[in-house]
Amino acid sequence: VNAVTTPTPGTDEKVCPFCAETIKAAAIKCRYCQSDLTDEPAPAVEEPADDAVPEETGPEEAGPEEDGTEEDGTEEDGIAPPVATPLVSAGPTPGEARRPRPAAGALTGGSRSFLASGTLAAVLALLLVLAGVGLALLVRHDTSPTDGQAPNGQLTSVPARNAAMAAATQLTQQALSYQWSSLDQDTAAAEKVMTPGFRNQYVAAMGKVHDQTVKNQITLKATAVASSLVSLTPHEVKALVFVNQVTTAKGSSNQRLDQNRIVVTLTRQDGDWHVSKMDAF
Amino acid sequence: VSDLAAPPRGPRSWGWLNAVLALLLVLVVVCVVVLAVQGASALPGSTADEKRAQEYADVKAAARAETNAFLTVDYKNMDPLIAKVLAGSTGDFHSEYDRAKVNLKSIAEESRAESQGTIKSVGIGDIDGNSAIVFVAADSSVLNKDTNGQRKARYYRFQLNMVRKGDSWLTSKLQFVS
Repeated sequence: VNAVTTPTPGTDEKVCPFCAETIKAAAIKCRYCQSDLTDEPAPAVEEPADDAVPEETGPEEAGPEEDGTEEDGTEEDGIAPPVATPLVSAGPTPGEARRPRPAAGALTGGSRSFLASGTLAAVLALLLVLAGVGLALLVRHDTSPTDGQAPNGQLTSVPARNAAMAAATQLTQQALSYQWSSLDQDTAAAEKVMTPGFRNQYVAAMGKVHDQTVKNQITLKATAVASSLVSLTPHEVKALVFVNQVTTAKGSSNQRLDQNRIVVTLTRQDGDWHVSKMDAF
Repeated sequence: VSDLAAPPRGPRSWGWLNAVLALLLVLVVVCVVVLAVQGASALPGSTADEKRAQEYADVKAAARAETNAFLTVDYKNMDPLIAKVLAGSTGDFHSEYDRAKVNLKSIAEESRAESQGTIKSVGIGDIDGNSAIVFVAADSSVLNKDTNGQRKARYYRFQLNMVRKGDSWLTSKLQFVS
């Protein structure tokens, strides 16, 4: 390293334009001639300092400088010019104007040096990996073949659909069937599988026919002759049920047959389906 | 290598790397957000569940269209109506309807029949990849020489057996549920 014998300024040094002494690049006042150096031209943009990545300076600069430039002892990483520097002239030229080395590293280095730093790269890479893992998990979840649920919320698993249809059939038959001799038990059992809102409607409707049913010894028997799903989500069943309802009264050999079309809505409460709506049309 | 003879390598390559990383990060985050909001429908192609849900919609739409065609009668213009029913049918239903079409047309003209269907509800009873049983609740308002100029309401419960032919679902059996 020929730094001791050549006057060429190091990368963190410059030559005072007033007295030609080698001084710290960051200096705003020459320590030899006391000249004010604050009006120096701004460093050329196309020559960014590599101060944020001192480890990138290469093997040539491995040897520490031994000249007197670190007398003040504040900086020990003064970098000697590379060995092969015949092109570098001793005098300062505009092209050689160095950006002042930040006194405390990245703190005063401004945003530009951070944006072009390895620290940012590491942070970005970490975030990228995290986002990639999140994306992979989402893709895996959405393409899971055992999901049984379409993106629009519809359940497609055959067991779930069959169970929902069976529930719709059974609950519709139960709500539409009763016997005068066991009227109170029948309605109480039906109320248990209804949501509070629908239960109120059911109780009101049954209240109107209660006395007539007992008096005329009426029996209603509802049979679902077909059951099908209009829609099915984990929380709601809408089923179209064709119901034949046979009404029998005491002392009458005639039976009345009603062929109903009913859309029954079931909602899940505590894991079980409950009737929340019934539309006959 | 002098740092004047060659462009300063460190800062510039970090800048490029960071720009690329930042761009990738933005892309991945956008993908995550889109996928989180839209679910599997945002992915290219479709999952088995997505295909099935689409199948349900297709089957119901086909059953609705065929029932509507079946209930539509206009004694002044029977041919296109009959053709529409035939176009949505296959198998037994197709051949039965094809055999009956001459009769149907003359009955409609003789009774000056008009009918318009309304689909009330459609449900799927059973479905696999290639066949389905669909139930349809439908009404029609009928006008003919016996209704004294008034439209009469009719109520129906249909069962349609559907089969897949290529991209479309066709009705192979249509019957009333009693």
